Amino acid sequence: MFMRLVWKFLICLSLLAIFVVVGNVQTQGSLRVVFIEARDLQMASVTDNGPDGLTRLAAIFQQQGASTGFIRLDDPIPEDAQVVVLIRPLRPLSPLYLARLWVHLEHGGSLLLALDPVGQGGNPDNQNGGVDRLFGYEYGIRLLNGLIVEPWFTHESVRDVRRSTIYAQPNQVDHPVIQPLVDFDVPVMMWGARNLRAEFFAPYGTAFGLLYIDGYAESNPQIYRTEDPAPLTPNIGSDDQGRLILGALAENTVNQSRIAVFGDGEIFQNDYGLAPIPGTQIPLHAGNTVLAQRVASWLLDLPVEDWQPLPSSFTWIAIDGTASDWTTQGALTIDPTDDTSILPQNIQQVRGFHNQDYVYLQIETAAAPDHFARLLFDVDSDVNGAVDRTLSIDAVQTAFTEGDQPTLVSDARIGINQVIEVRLPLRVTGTGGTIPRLCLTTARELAFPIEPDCIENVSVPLVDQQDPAEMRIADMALATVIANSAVNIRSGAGTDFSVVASIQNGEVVAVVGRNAVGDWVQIQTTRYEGWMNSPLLQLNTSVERLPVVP
Amino acid sequence: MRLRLMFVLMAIPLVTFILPTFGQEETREASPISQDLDTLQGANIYFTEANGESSRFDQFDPGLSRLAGLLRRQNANLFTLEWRTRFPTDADLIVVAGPITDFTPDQTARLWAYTINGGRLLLLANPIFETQSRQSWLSNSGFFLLMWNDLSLRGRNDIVVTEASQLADEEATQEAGQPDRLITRFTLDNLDPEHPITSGLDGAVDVFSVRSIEFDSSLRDYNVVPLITTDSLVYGEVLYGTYIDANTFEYNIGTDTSRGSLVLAVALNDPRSNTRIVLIGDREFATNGGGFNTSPAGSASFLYPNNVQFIMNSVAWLLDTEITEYSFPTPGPSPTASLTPSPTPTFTPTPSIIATPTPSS
Repeated sequence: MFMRLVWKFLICLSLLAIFVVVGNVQTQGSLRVVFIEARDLQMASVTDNGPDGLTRLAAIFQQQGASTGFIRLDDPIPEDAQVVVLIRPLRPLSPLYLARLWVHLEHGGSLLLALDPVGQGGNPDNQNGGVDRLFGYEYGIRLLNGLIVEPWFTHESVRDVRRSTIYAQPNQVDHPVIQPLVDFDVPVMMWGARNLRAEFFAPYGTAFGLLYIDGYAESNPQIYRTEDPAPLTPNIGSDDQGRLILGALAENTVNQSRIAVFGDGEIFQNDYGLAPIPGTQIPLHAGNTVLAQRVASWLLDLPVEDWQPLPSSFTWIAIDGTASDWTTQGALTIDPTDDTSILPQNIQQVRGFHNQDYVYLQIETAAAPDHFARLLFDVDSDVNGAVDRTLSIDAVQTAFTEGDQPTLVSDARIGINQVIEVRLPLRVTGTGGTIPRLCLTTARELAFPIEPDCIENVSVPLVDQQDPAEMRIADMALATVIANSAVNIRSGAGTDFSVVASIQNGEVVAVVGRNAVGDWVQIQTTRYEGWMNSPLLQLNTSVERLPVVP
Repeated sequence: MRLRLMFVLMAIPLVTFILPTFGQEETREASPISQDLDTLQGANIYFTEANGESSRFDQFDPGLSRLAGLLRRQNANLFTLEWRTRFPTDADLIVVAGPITDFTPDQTARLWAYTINGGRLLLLANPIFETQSRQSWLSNSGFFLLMWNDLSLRGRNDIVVTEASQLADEEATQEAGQPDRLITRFTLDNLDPEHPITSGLDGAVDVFSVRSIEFDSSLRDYNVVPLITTDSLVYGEVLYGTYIDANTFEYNIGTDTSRGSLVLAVALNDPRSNTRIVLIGDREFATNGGGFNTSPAGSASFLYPNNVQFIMNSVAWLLDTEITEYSFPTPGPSPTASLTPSPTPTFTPTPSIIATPTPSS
């Protein structure tokens, strides 16, 4: 009798559990995302699986358990639609469309909106328009009319979104959407961006600026003219300068509705920001994919613990001086010398590896490392068995000396906390899998200098991973490979020179200079330095403006 | 004995309270228009003023100061809508009195979100003069487009007119050999007999220059009641500006609003959202110099008491409060005696408020 009762109890408990689970699944399945398909807006379309389409963005929402559809806005937005998506409209929202969106937001719905700059191929909502006024007052996000202009931009590049590429940096705000990109130092690629304003203390909302760039935004629409265009120079008083916000999130404190606004539509389009590496499912621009995934989760109001994990096949290690994010990666090299010093310069062991782009090292010292630590690497960059460079890295700068001039390595990073973490580009270290010698010293000027503690033959084996950012080089012109097949990087400006490597269509490289004729440009990636045939590249400047490299 | 006592006790309230009401017709006593009442106590009424609307502070002819004064006497709280801040959550009614320019997109969005979410709206729209450089509130854009798409209700792009020659009144017919002219001002008694706004009106209302209203309430979840309707002699002229400029007009079938009974004011009630709208196609209907004109000037003697009662009934219906019937003092002698409403209850043209062109020499 007792057992029968126990069995009944268990059956009831199981049924209850099933009921709860099914209930949760149904709740998850009720998430609904609608893309706006108002033809007169000429926006990017969710029904288009071509380069400009949004099918990959829709898939990101679907991966989070949402159903997706589209509406034309002639009718009201369905009340059960949680998120409305409008990407790259080329026309301003009519009062009718804006009213539809506003009713949706007043009901607590969410909106993802991405707008290209005014005048660059379209005429979307501008500063002081309806969207700007509503979002400014109610959310703290204002639209501005500027186009981000990098120092190397030309009039040809500002007229073409594919040639006005920039890397937006993740802003260090305390928000879970942007946190991984901040932690892992991953930029977001944009194709012709406008700046926004994000105000944390807005009257009825709280806004977070997510992406930024340091530069200036050209607000004169005459720069787009083909004949006698206005010069691309910052004008104090009319052009915004300094740290410019390119994407923002905001929540209305009255009705709890959420909006995410970005100053570029291409970041979420199929063959731009959400393009995969050709022939794979791996994102070409990991920053854009992570951003899209996390913005979608936030707009759907999913618990943070349910957000999608960061994409696999990438190295997710923050260079912050903590070892907690090192899992099984890397080989361990223990200092073989009998060294009992307890100084922070005493290297105990080094863990290291390299992926397709960078060398990662984690250095443990006998005592907590000194924040003035300086590492000296002897590297064999051309992998011929001989040391050819000594690289110095500390908290201030990373550089190596060849000849008389020090060469800065702007995309190297060091983090000093419980341990010392270092990330070095392969183009500097070489890809041999071993660092011949690594020494730890201090950057302080000491009256009695301490002898560096060195360790030799540090193993940095290859792991089969991409780096989430294929390039972290700032302040350089960019070029995108536009050939149908892989393009060679050569050791010199001509086909007579040896092939260093080849890179795929869609990949982005930094451009350093050109030859005298201009048919070859010198490029840099995280992994390679070399020359490429300029007609196979789409530069965000004109070749003539690049410095001639002897 | 006890049973008897019980009957007696039961009879007392019967005799005291119930019997006296038998055979007694319910009568509502009209309140003098000048008397203070509490019927709108606590109601928050917002007026829009950012787009050239008639102002509640304006005591001249284009203003709404008399309407505002009446509402204040009923203890309503009156505010001007501040568009730059969040839409007020305590707004019981919003009055949009004839904006001259279109609402901006953000204003349209805010007003629409308020309206469609159970808001109450008294909207007086101007007729359309096609020659004006700034035409506002066209039927196929802005707020009217939203109303048409979602509530099948909007103002047409016309002005309701009739030719003087169409009228039976001999005074209105033109002299032989003179060109015909258009009449825009009407006294109308074709009012809905059932709707609370118009059922208690005794007589006609006056319109001064009015656009017609288009609606379709068939097979809808909401209902739209035409409150004021013309007779069949009028049509909606879409080229009235040309008539003003060139003194020529023509009734164009297919272009002008077809001749027939045109609706000039409607009441919409959407029980799903609790939204209520009263739309009147004439801004002058409630202005100091139009429907709220008085004689002597500045007195409480309204020339068009039914206009006043219509507007006050509209406010009461929109706020879902009890309708107050007013008693109006008789208008006294006025230097503008020609504006006194015609005693003829039906459709008698009187001199138009707007300029009517004189035949060119």
